Amino acid sequence: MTQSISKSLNDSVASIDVPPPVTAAKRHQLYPQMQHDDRARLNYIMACYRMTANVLTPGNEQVYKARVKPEFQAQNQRSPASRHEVRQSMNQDPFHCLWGALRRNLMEMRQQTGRHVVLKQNQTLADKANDYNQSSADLELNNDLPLPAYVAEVDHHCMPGSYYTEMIDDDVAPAANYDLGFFVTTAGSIGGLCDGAGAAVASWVKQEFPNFKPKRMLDIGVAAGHSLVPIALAFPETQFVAIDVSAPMLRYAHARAKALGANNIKFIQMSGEDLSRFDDQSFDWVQSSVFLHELSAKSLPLLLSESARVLKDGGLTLHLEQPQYDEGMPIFEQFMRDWDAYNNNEPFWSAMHATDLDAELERSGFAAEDIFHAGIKAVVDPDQASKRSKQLKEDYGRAPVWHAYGAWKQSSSYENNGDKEK
Amino acid sequence: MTDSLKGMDPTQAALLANAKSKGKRPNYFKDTMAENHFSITMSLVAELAVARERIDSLERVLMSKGILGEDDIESFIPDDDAAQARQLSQVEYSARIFRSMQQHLESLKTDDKSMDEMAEILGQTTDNE
Repeated sequence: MTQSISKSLNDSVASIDVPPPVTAAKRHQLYPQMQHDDRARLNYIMACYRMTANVLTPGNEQVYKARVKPEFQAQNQRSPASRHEVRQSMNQDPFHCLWGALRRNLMEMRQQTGRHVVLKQNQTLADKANDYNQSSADLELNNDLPLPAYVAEVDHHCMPGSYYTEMIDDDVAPAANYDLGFFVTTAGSIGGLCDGAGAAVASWVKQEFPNFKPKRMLDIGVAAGHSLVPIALAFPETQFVAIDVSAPMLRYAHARAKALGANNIKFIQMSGEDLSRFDDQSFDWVQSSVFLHELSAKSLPLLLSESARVLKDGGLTLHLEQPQYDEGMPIFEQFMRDWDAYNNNEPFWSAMHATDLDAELERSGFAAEDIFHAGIKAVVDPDQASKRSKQLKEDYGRAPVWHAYGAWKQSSSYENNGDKEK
Repeated sequence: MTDSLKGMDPTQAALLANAKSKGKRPNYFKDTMAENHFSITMSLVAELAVARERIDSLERVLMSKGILGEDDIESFIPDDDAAQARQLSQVEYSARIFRSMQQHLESLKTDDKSMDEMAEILGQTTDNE
C-alpha cells in the first residue's frame, strides 16, 4: 500500500537537476575572488534556476492548454495565430505572471550578486588585467568609437551599465561580472570555463572540413572571449582578430585569453557594421557566437555584408544562434523562446529569430547552394561541472545546443583549395 | 583572504550593484506594491539559503576539528570591532533586500523605452517607418 502510494507520487512529481556548485567553475588569473556567502548566493540562484526550469516552467504550457487558449478561443472563435497573440493572452494569466516575476528576479539577483562581488575588487581586477594589457600589441582600444544605438538604449540581460560602462580607469568589472554570471546561468552545462560552444565549433570544423587551414579568422562581438579562446587554442597556426564595441570586455578578454595560453588573438575595439579597415578578401573565416540577437534589423544586414566582403573566396562564415522560428516550430514554443526578448532585455531577440537568415546570407552575397545549417552541441571537458550537468533538460533555448548558420564563399573555391592540399 | 582586494567602498558597491538596468521593467503584478513585495521575498528567501549554507559550513568545520562546545555560541559576545563589522554586513544585507524599491526610484528619473517599443525600433529596416 505504502509502496504504491509513493510510486504514484513518484510518477507525478518531476525530478530536479542538481546543478554543480559555483566552485566547479574553472578559475583563471582574472577570475574574481568570492567570499563564502557570495558563493552561497550564486549556488542558491543556480539551484533556484534549475528548480524553476524543471518544475515550474512546464506549468506555462499547462495553463496555456487548460485555460489561456480555451479563453482566447471562446472570445475570438479561433486559436491564437502568432507568438505575439499567445504572449498577450499569457500576460494576463496569474501563473505565468508569477513565474515571470520569479525568473526576472533571479536574473536581477544574479546581476546584483555578481556586481557586488566585482565592484568591491574593481581596482584589483583592473590591475591584474593591466599586467597582461600594458604594452601588449594585441589590444587596440578606440575611445572615439560611437556606441551603436542597440547597445546604448538597453542594458542587455538586465546587466546594469551593460558591457561598456567604466567606473575607474582601465575598468574590467562589467566583464568580470559577465564571466561569473555565465557559469551561473548555464549551470556548468557548457563547461567550467563556459567554452563549450567554441570547443564544439573547433572540433566540428576540424572533423567536417579537415582540409580547411585558415590563415586568418575574424570573430565579431567577442565579448569576454569564452567561445573564441578554445577555437584559438585548437588552431594555433591561425591568426585571430576579435572585435567588440566594449573596452572593458576587450581588456578582460585579452588578459583572460593570455592567461589561458591563447597568444594568437588580436583584440580591436570596433563595430562589426564597419569593417572598412580590413581589405576585401582578407579573412579565411568570419564568425559570430550567439551575438546576432543583440543587433538590430538595420545593423544585421550591414554586418553580414561586411562579413561577406572581407571573406576570401573559399572562406567560411559561421554564425551560432538559437534556432530560428519557422513554420515547423509551434507558436507556443516560439512564445516561450521569446520570453527573454521582453523580460530579459533582449529586444531584438524576437525579430532576429523570425528573420530568414538564409535569405539574409544570400542578400549579403553568398550563393544559395553555398549556405548550410548545422546543429552544434556543446563539447565540455570531463570535469565536475559537465558530469553533473550533462543530463540538463531542455529549457526553451537554454540547452547547450546551438544552430550554426553558415556559408562557404564560393564553395567550389574551397573544394579546389582543399584538393590542392591533399 | 579577500581583505587585500582593492575596490569600491562596500556600501557604495552595494548600492551600485543594485542599480536598475536600462529599459523599462515589465509588470508581473497588477500593482507596484505586490511587485516590490515579491522581489523582497525572493531576496529574503535567497539570503536564508545563504545563511543555511554558512551555518552548514561552520558546523562541518567545527565538528571536523572537534572544537565546538554545546554552549559556545549562546555565550558569545563580539568585541567592538567585530560588532561594527557585523553592522556593515547588516547594511549591505538590507541594501540587497530592498533592491526593487531602489530601482523603482531610479526608474522615476529616467525615460526608458519599453521592450515593445525597442523591439519596434530595432525591427525597422529603414529610418522613416
